[in-house]
Amino acid sequence: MGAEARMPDPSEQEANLKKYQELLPSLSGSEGKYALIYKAELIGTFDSYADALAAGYKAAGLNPFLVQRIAAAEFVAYFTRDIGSAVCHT
Amino acid sequence: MPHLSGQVTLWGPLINVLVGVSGPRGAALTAAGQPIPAPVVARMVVDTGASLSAVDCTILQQLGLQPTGQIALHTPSTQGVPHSANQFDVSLTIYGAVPGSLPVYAAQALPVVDGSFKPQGIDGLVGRDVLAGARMIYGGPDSWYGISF
Repeated sequence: MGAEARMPDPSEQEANLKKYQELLPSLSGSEGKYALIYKAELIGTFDSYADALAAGYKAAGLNPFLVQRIAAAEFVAYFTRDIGSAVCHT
Repeated sequence: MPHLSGQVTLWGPLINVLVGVSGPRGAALTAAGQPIPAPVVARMVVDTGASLSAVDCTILQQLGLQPTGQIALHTPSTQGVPHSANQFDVSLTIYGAVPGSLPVYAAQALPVVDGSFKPQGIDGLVGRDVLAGARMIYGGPDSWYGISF
């Protein structure tokens, strides 16, 4: 449990994403649910985005975690307007 | 059925949206003894050409958010090759036109994409994730639109 905030480390989120991609084949039975990854470990799968998010903040506090919708074929969003390419450093 | 109306402007159908930290993040901030940043009023375009809602980076920074997701997306400038973008969890509230009215739409946890919209004169896009539960009338000849949720 981590309630204290610290400076986000981009590599942590990269590790979480890598773990999600590694786990994806084994998550095929949970398609449509949301996977929660924290410290490069699967914390669980959840029926809704809000549930996964709440569990993420409960487990990680203000530290980086990842919530991804589980889909065998990657969901791709479309924007007919340019949204800008600058990376948002928060 | 909650509804609102607004003007179709040079930018398109404009709508004022209150963007704040998500409910779960607000709870985490409180648990950590940190203040919850005040929500920001964002001038956004209702965009049926956007799969998802998107918010200007400066607003996400103002709210002190960090990415909690990632998504692949196409825009006119990605030239057919999907681009990875961060997603941030926010709360999003849309009020009716009457001052003091109840929200016509409220999401406590919504994943939005970051972008650079200020140079376009707007703060973001209300995409089809929000519009999925809406009916909209586009009154082109009258430069008017109406949305009900």
